[in-house]
Amino acid sequence: MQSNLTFHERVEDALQNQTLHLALDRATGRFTSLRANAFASFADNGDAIRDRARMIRAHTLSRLDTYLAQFADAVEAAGGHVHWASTAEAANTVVIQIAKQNNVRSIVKGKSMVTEETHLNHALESAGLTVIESDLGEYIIQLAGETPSHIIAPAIHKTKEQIGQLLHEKIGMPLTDEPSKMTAAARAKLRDVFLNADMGISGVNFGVAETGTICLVENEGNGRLTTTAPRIHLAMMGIERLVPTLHDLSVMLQVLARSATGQKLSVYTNLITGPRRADADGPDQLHVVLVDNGRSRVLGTEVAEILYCIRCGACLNACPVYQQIGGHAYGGVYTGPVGAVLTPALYGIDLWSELPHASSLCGACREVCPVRIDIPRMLLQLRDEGHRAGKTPGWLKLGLPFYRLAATTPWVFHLGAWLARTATRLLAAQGWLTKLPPPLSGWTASRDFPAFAPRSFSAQFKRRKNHKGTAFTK
Amino acid sequence: MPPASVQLFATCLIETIRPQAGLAVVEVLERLGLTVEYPDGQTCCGQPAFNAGAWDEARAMARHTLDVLCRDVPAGDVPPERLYDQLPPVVVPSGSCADMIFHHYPELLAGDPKYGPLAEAVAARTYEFTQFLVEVMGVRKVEAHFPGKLTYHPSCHLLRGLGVTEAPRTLLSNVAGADVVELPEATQCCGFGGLFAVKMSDISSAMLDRKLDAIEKTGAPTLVGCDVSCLLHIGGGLHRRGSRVETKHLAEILAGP
Amino acid sequence: MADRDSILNAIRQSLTTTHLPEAQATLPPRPASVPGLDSGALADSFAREASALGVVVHRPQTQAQAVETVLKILHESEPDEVLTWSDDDLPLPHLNDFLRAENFDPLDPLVPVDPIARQKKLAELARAEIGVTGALAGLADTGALVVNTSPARSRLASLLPPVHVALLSVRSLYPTMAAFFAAHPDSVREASNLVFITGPSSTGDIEFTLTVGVHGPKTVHGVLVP
Repeated sequence: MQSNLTFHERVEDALQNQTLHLALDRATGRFTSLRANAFASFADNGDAIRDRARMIRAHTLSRLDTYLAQFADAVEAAGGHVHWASTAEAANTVVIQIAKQNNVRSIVKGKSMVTEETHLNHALESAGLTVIESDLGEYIIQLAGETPSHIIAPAIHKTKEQIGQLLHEKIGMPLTDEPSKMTAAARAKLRDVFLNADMGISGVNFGVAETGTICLVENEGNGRLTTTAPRIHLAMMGIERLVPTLHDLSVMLQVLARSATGQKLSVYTNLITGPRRADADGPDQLHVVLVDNGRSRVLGTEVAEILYCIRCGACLNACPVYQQIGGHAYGGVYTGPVGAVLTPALYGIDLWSELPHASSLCGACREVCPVRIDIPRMLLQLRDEGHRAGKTPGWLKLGLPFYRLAATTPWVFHLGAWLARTATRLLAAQGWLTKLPPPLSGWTASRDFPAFAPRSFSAQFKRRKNHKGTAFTK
Repeated sequence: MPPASVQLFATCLIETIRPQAGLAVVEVLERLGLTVEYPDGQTCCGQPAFNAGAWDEARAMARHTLDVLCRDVPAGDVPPERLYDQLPPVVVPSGSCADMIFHHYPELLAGDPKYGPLAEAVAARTYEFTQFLVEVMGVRKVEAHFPGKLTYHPSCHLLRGLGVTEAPRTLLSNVAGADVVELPEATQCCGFGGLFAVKMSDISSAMLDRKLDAIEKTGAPTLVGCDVSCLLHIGGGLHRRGSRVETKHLAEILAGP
Repeated sequence: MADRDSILNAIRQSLTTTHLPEAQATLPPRPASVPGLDSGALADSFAREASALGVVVHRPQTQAQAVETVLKILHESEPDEVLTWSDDDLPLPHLNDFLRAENFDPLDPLVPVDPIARQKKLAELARAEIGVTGALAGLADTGALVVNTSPARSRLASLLPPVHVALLSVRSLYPTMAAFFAAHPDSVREASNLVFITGPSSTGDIEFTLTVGVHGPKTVHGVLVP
């Protein structure tokens, strides 16, 4: 759900929020060093494996139709049902249909970004179904009625005191600020949910085309329980989340957990191929819902590379902008650098033109991405698109022709420089200006601006050369 | 064979706001025996327009800059791919402007029959200042003297765009008398980002605060960088805080007191 | 099938205008596999990695000692209920008999299809305090236990109880996941579920304080069976 506030309002809120700031500092700092340590265990810091991981994703997407068809056929050969959803609404409708057809009333859910994207929970609840999030962080924010602020640690913005208070109020846990006690309380409460739910819904980290396998990666065990205890397992998957073979999967898994949490491998890496066979336990039905929701269109654009993303969250942790504003400011389900590209790509630059500008293009994201996605390139691409769609602020639109003229016509450039020099030197106090007029007033809100130098470089260079007896300007 | 001369692309910020950095670059290069040409008509590399998504404007500025840097090529006779042999290296005392020319000029002008090849040829001979000293001239130590503590801020385009990580540090470490203190969280972006500093000024300021806190932690009275854009932003913040820390372009340190 | 065709067609259409850096028609050849480590080195590496993750690793010298180890673990907590795999699926012959001899009667793990019976059975299985399973393999580089599913290999045995005891034959160790897949190319296809387990279940979701025993087991024992 898009917030009613504007982007700038959300940013302001975030920057004022001291608690958020502390939580972000702690979280991003920690994840960043965990990731660095994990990659240091490779002799080449993981360069070769990341190159290969990138190639796997690129190759897969370049033949996505073939691999997706192969995957779907293999899922069905293993006894699963495959549903194809072009839109978010279609995806939610299919889930509700499956639930109704099977007398499902209660649903337990594992963490899944794509289900957030389609607003599945809201649709299910509107259809009279109860949905409980089982991932601890997601469970916490569900109780709080909030949205996740980080792909990997959804409740990263909440302190343990806040969480203790929340669990006390919502599930009657005795008030405490000890995480182990809170976890035990949540475990007990959710155990009942797992064992009595009619359907378990999960996401998919990777689909493996050659075997029709769903790979689900997690640490808590809620993914395993969600996909084992209830009689129906429904997995929702973005159509781009494929790899061709199990070997390719093993490569991706080497970079995923390291990038996300600094682990070599998550506690549980589940490989699910079809529903229960003649097994002791497991779900009787497996449904895989393949979600397009704009991905096939993005595939045809200059920013198709964003589909390489494996949702590790490393770019969020590395991003100096995300570190300051957190996830909610981005206004959508996908936050941080990946969100700044994916959200406008999926939903259009018209509604999301500020996001690609909320970046200093520092490149820290590209540096940590396990599949080396060139996010800065795509942010620039989206800025170009936004400009052509008329989204550039008025003052900049007015200024551009002057800037262009000055930069392509040296005498105009020098005249402009002279004017600026004269003005700044007049207005400066001891060589500095403390107030610049709009639209540059943003600068002087927190910084001083120096007066232009009394003599330009080119003038001084010429004088220097003449003084030294050789002429050099041509 | 080291080159005999270079073309200096001074950058608009050095031209107008910090000429002493440009003069220091000239000083250092001349001491190495190089002839420094300063092609007339230089203005701006066009990065602000490019970053704003105004790519038509950015292309116009790129074409202008390429004309300035290729003026002396004999017209017509020389095939574009031989331009590299004809003209001296372009030295740019700014990581972000060098990155603009090196990476983005060829991209922006890829379809242009005249300027596409020119962009490729110029990109192939464009270097950031410290990159040029160390990688082309093979110089790791310059006769320079600077007493006291220094701390170094690596600018993002230099560090990640061009991959120049060691050259500035090597040159600094060989400055006699200088006590180089490592800046905490050195590779964190200072928050300038061009127009980002104005359009997203609140986020930019928050990022700047973090950088300023780190600088103050070092106790160094001098902050050194290779990009006047970062120094403008950091220096402006330091001055607003009433700090005594001064910012200097690395060339100014190498040119000596 | 309407949406299948429309989605696949949309993809094909997009692939004519796409920009996918580094995309190649075929992937480069797989890197050469790690030179064969001997089983001793594999066991040492597995033990080291698994221990670092909080798995309690046991290295009995004989199968008889392995049985003792399992019984000792059970006697530490004297569980009222246990869940186990069948003898055929464990690397220790007749383990279930040994357990029964010590008054540990494994629950019947079979979960019925009927929804009401299912819920009842799940509630019963949730009372198990210890689960004893085998493992198809172990991975030396990550200390992972590879646990698959079959008629007598209950998933819940390694998931519901707070203590999981995994019996892993020393001959089933592989240097990496890729090596395991190469050696067992059909293991994934042939099981509805195969899971790599690296330690007790954990979370850091609350201010990064590492807590174990979230929804899965709190304690994992890895017994390397000779």
